[in-house]
Amino acid sequence: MDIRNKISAIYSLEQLSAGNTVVHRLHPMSKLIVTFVFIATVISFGRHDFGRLVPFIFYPTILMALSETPYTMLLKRVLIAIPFCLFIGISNLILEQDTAFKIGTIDVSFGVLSFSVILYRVYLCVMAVLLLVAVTPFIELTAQLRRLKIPNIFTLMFEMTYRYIGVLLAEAVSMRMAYVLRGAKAKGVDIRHAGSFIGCLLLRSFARAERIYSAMKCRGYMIKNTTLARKKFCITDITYCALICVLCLLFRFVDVGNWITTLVEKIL
Amino acid sequence: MMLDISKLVIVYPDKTKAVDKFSLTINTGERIALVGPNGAGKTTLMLAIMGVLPITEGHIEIGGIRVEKKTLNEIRSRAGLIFQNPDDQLFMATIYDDIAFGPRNYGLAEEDVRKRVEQTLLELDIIRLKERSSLKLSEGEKRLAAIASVLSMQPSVLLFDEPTAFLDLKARRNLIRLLNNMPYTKLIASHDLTFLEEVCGKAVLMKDGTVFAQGLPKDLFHNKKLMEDCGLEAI
Repeated sequence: MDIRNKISAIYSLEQLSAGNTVVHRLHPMSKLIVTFVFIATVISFGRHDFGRLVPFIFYPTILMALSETPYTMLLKRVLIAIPFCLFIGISNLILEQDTAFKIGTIDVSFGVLSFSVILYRVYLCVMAVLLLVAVTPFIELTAQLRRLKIPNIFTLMFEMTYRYIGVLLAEAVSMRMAYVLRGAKAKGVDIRHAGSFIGCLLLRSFARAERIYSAMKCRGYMIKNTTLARKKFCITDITYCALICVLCLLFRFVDVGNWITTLVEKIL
Repeated sequence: MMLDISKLVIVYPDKTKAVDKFSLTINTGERIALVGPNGAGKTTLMLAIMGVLPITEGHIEIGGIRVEKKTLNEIRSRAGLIFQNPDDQLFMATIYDDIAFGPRNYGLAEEDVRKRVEQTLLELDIIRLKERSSLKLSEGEKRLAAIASVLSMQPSVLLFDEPTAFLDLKARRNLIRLLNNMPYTKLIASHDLTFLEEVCGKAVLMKDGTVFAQGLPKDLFHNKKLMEDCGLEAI
C-alpha cells in the first residue's frame, strides 16, 4: 500500500466525523460525557462479572447503527488492542482453574471467565472511544476537553501527537526509500545505521513539526483557544446523556445480565 | 500604506543575523516580488511579519497595527502566509476542515464558517476537493487548498513563500492566472523569475538579510551584473 494510503487509513476514522446523522449532530460534550460514563461503568465490574457486562453491548451497537459507522472499520482497530489483553489475560487461564459453572457437560473455569471479561471489556471500551472519534470532529473533541478544564499541556500534547503520527510516518518512509535506493539492505535498516537513522528521523520530524505549528499559529491557533464550536446544549443532548447514563447505571446496579444467563442456561 | 517594515533586525538564538536593517513599504493592492539567494532571509522575514519569529530591532506594521505579542490575533487575521510546502499547511482530516481551521480559531459560528469555506472553495474553483484528504491531492490541488486555507480568513495582505515550488507547468500557469485576478496586497518570495515578472509590479532583491536593490522586475531580473552581485542568475 502506498504511504499516502497508509497515512490516510490512520485518519480515515476521523473523516467519518464529517457525517450528518443524528449522532453526529449531538453536542460534542454530550458524547464525551456519555463515553466517559460508559467506560467508567464497564471498568467498575468485577473480574468474573461477565454475565452482567453482556447488556452493555447495547451502546456500541445502537450508536454504530445510528451513526452509520462501518463495523469492519472499527473492528480492524479493536483487533490492534487484542494482543495486549491476550498477554494480560493469559495468566488467568493458568492461575484460576476452579470451575465456575458448566455449559452442558463442559466445565468453565474462573480463569476462562476472567479472561473473557478482560477481552470483552477491552472490546467495549475501545469501541466506545473509536465511535466517539468517528462521530465527533477531532478539533471539537479537544475544545471540549479544554472546557472541562483539562490542563492545556495535556490537550496540546494529545492534539500534536495525533497530528504528528502522519508526519513521523511520512518522514520515516521517505528516508527508508532514500536508504534502500542507494544500495543498502532491501529489508529494513542495517543495525549499524539504525542509530543515525532514528536520530535523523527525529530531527527531521521535529523540524517539520515546527513548520506545521508555525502554519497553525499563522491561522490564529492559540494554546488557550477555547472559542471553538460553541454549539448550544439542547434538549436532544440532555435526553441523549440522561438516557444512556440511566441505562448504564441500571445495568450496573440491577443484575439484568443474570436474567439473560438464567435464560440461556434454561435454553441449554 | 498596507505593510511597513522599518529597519528590521532578526537575530536567531545562535546569534545568526538573518535579517539586517531591512526596510520596505508596500501600498494597498501592490504586488511585490522578493528575490534572493538561499539563506538571504526571505522566509525569516515572512515569519517575522506573521509574528511567528520575535523581532530583535525595528518594527513591522500591517494596516497601521504594529506586530507585537498583544496584537498577534489582529495581525494574523489581516495577513496570511502561504508556506513553501503545502503539506506543512494542510494537516486536518479533510480540505473542508483545513479551510475552516482559521475561521474556527477566530470563534466564528459554524454556519458562518461553512459559508466562508464554501465561498472560498468556489472562488478558487476547487469545490470538488471539499471532503477529500490532502494526502490524496496532486501538488497543484494542494497549493490551491493551501491558498484557500488562508483566503478563508479574509486577509488584506498575502505572503507567498515559493508558491511555484512542486508545481508542473499547467498548475503554474493556473496559479499565475489566479494571482493576477486576486485584488489582495501581495509579497511573493520566489526563485522563479519569469513567474514573478508576470505577477508582480515591483521587485526587491535581498542579500544577507538586507535590501540589495529594488525596482521594476524587468529592469532588475535582466541586469546580469546586478543579479550576479546579488548571488543570482539573470533571465
